[in-house]
Amino acid sequence: MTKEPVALAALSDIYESRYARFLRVAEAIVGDAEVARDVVQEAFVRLIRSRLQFRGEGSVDGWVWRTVVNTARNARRDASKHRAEDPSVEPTATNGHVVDAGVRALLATLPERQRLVLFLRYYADLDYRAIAEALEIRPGTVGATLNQAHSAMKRVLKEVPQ
Amino acid sequence: MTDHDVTDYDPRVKEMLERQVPLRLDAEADWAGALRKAEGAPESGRNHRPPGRLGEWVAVRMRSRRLLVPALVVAVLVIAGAAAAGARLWSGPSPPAIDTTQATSLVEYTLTSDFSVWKAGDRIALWHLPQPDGSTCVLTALASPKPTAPAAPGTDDPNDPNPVGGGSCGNPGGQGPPGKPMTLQLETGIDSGLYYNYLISGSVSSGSDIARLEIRSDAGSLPLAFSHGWFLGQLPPSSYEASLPQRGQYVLVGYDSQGQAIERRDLRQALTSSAPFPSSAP
Repeated sequence: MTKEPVALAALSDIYESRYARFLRVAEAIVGDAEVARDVVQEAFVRLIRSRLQFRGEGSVDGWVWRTVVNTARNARRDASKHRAEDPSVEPTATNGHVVDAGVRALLATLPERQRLVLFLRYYADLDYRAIAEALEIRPGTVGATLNQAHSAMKRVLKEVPQ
Repeated sequence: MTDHDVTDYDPRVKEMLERQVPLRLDAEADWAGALRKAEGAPESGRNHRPPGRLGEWVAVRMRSRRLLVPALVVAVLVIAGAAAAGARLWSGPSPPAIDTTQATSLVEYTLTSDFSVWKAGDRIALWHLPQPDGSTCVLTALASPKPTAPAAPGTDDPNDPNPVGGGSCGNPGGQGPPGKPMTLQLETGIDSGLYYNYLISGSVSSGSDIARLEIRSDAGSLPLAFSHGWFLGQLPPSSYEASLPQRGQYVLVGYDSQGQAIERRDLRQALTSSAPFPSSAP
């Protein structure tokens, strides 16, 4: 089992330089800004504690993003299990414009992998390789998944009278 | 890390998404806080609920007793009366150091897929660890060498050849509360990307006639390692936490020496509830 411990300074640099992006992706996943802050903190607490167990498989960035995403997914899933169905999940359009609630609803209906790829692509500005590492899928799968998500988003746009 | 040469980048999608979640450049990062929390709280691999708003949020909104876990991504769902048996989990801020000097192996199992820090093919075991205060811990670790515990809570020793994983400590009886033919735990590992792996372990009561155990599902049966009244095995990976890999029933079945099924536990229910779950005769 190869282990290459990650230096605290490296983690600190990643945290400080990309904090806003971590926060944004976490908020997109959990749907709550305050909880997103706690998710990012919790993710980094885990990263700090487990830095000695880092296996050196893949990049540190990929490991960090994976931990943030998984921490957020867990928080969201834990909460949603006991949450009443959100009435806003039905796509809506008003006066020819897709309202934000509609986009939110559309995102809620996308498969989780599509949502995560969208968030990492647009909110974190990650490239295919980095997304693939974060989600532990192949770069080709990232492209295919992103295409599917785009198609779904564009369908909604087309359905709205211009 | 950015890549603006990617052609599959739709500005209209970007615009839609931009309105959903703002980039909070004014948000104050708190590296020192994360560091303090990491260094002051329980060590990795132990089970605890994280303090602070996230813990409260989860506790309030889920009303679940499942425990969020730190670095080694091992979550233990304690099921079927472990708490009733007086077991104590490391849910407080200062878990005790684990004494491993009298460790003995209860049952061994060869992993079929990665779990936590272990790889497929690794042979792991449930270890029985009598503690100086008279209690007993049962923890997972590699089957060999004999596990060692960190020198002090909150520290990780990268040179430790066999750090202990998830488990519980409790009454010295060890094999569950009276009247419960079987107790079990499900540990969730999330270190395989988007897939969750489950390790199942537990014990049968000393008076039980159970001689063999397996998990029955629509996909077939999975035998569990069984020795000294303790069992250990693995479920196929799932893409969702607290969800079994396929639809349909997943039932832990205990057989007597004649091959008759004499005990059943619904694992689906076990995954979604921390309360003792029903047992029914076949």
